[in-house]
Amino acid sequence: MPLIEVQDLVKEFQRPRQKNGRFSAFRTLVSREYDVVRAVDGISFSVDAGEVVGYIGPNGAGKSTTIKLLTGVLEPTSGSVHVAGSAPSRNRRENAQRIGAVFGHRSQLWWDLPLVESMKLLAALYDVDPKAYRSQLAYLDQVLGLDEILPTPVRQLSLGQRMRGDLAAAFLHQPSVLYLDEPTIGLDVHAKDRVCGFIEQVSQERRATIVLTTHDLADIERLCDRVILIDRGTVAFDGPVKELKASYASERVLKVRYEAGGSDELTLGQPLASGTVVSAAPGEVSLRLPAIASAVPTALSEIGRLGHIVDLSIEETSLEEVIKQVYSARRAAAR
Amino acid sequence: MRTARTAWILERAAIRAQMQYKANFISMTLLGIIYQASAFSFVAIVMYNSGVIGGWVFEEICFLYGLRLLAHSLSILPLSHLWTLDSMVREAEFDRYLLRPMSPFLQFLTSKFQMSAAGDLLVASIILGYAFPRVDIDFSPATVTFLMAGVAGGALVEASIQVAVASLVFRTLNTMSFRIFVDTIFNLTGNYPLTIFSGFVQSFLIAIPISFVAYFPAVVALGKEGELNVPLWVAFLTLPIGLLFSLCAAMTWKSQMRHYQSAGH
Ligand SMILES: Nc1ncnc2c1ncn2[C@@H]1O[C@H](COP(=O)(O)OP(=O)(O)O)[C@@H](O)[C@H]1O
Ligand SMILES: [Mg+2]
Repeated sequence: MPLIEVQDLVKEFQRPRQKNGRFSAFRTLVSREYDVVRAVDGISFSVDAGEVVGYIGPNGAGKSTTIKLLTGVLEPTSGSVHVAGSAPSRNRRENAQRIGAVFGHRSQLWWDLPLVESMKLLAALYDVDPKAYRSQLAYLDQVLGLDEILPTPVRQLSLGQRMRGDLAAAFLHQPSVLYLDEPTIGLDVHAKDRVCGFIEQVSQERRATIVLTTHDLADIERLCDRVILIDRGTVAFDGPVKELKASYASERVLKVRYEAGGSDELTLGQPLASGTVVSAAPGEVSLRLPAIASAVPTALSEIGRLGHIVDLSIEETSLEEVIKQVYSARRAAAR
Repeated sequence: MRTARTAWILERAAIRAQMQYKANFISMTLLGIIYQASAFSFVAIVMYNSGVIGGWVFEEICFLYGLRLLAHSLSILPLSHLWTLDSMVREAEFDRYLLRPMSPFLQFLTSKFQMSAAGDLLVASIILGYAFPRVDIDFSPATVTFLMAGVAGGALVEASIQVAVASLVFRTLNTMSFRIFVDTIFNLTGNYPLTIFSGFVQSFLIAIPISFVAYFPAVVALGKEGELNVPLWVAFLTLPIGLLFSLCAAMTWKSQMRHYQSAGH
């Protein structure tokens, strides 16, 4: 049975129409006028234990709302979420022991106290025994370089350090599931690498199940076996990263340098082998080809006739490009 | 049991965090003293001119006023940061309490500690210190127990109403005007004998139930039962009513918290 099961999940937010003027708060309270925002609109998926799933989509697609439904912060409007067989929002305490959550926008640490105090307080909250506490802290130091920042008050930590602190805090009680909502947001390359390293390590060494949202597709390619692409509260794609690329990235670009000798100049837009020329200069050509195995050798032998091949490279369509294509295809279909 | 221990660990951490802002502590305390002392001196001046209000002499008024201020101080002691709930809910800081294995209310209660009650407590002690030797009360163990139960019940009543009102934030996202409204009603009416109000207002104050906070305990302790317009046993109900109100506040909190919507991001 999957660890996380999401069925026809819907979450609507009611925004009471704000009243102005005298007793505005009171009139807002008794008023029955709402604007309804459907942030999650019928999402289903399941996640097996040990999977690392990237949950991606543009701003406002409903990623954070889904994470809040998965963690039990919010109750579904309809549909269901089950984690290890129980509904998180109905069994908050039981669920809390099983999960760790980090929201990149919002620290959960004790702002005015040294980081180590947050760790101690969380150990008390989650009833972590002293021995497990020590060994987990040692592990977190090894993975996140925690020791150097433990004595620092949280409000004095840099964003990268704070994020390491938040990750450590979320993992202190050894949860089997980690929900990470934009854990790399705003971080520099080095800090980002550290966060990714942590995710890799806890996934491999502790077999943690991880659901990750991010805007950085490099993170996704590095970390996730599987992506769920969401769009306006619905699932646009669910599957391995490779499959996503294969099904949408139907083309790639072959770039070749050759010893130009003959007079056969290539021109832009000219068909060549199974593709078309997208840029051409003396001794240099870029060719857009269908992403099938035979296309490259055929094209190379054609170009080889123009002159001896010196160098070549193949550019896969970037994940970003692929995702753009998914969305524009969906927009076109919706019209 | 473990919950109580954990709550105490969290509360101590909140106190340690607050200790970093000593200047703030001192100014909050001073503010409390100035606010409560000036409110009281207004009463003292009125009394000085009239001598008696509602059949109560100055010392008796001091006794009543001190009891009510003591209950008030105790009610805000653990809840001095109740006003921060508004922004916590609006800015979704409240999320964290729903992610951890402990009651969200207890986590909120122990999230901060502000000593803004210190000034109120000090003024209450001075007023009571003045009144105790001057009022005609035999401080027998029974009377002392009765008064302590009254103060505890009064504190519970006030704290419960404040919590219930604050919990409306889960739906309204702003409760400041409500809370100030409640606080004002308590301050305007809770410190005086019921006899100075008209009949309708009297019933209202018994119903909401400000009269239970300090007035009924004071009436019983001072032996002024004659002026009651309710059966005598009603005046003994402060503590049970405090407990009942706590229960209602807990239920209100629970039902309102279900409306929590977090915030975007
Ligand atoms: N607490 C809330 N109240 C009202 N609307 C919300 C709330 N949270 C999110 N939304 C709305 O729901 C949609 C999805 O938001 P969110 O899940 O935060 O998107 P994402 O994380 O993918 O950027 C947005 O239109 C957002 O404005
Ligand atoms: Mg988000």
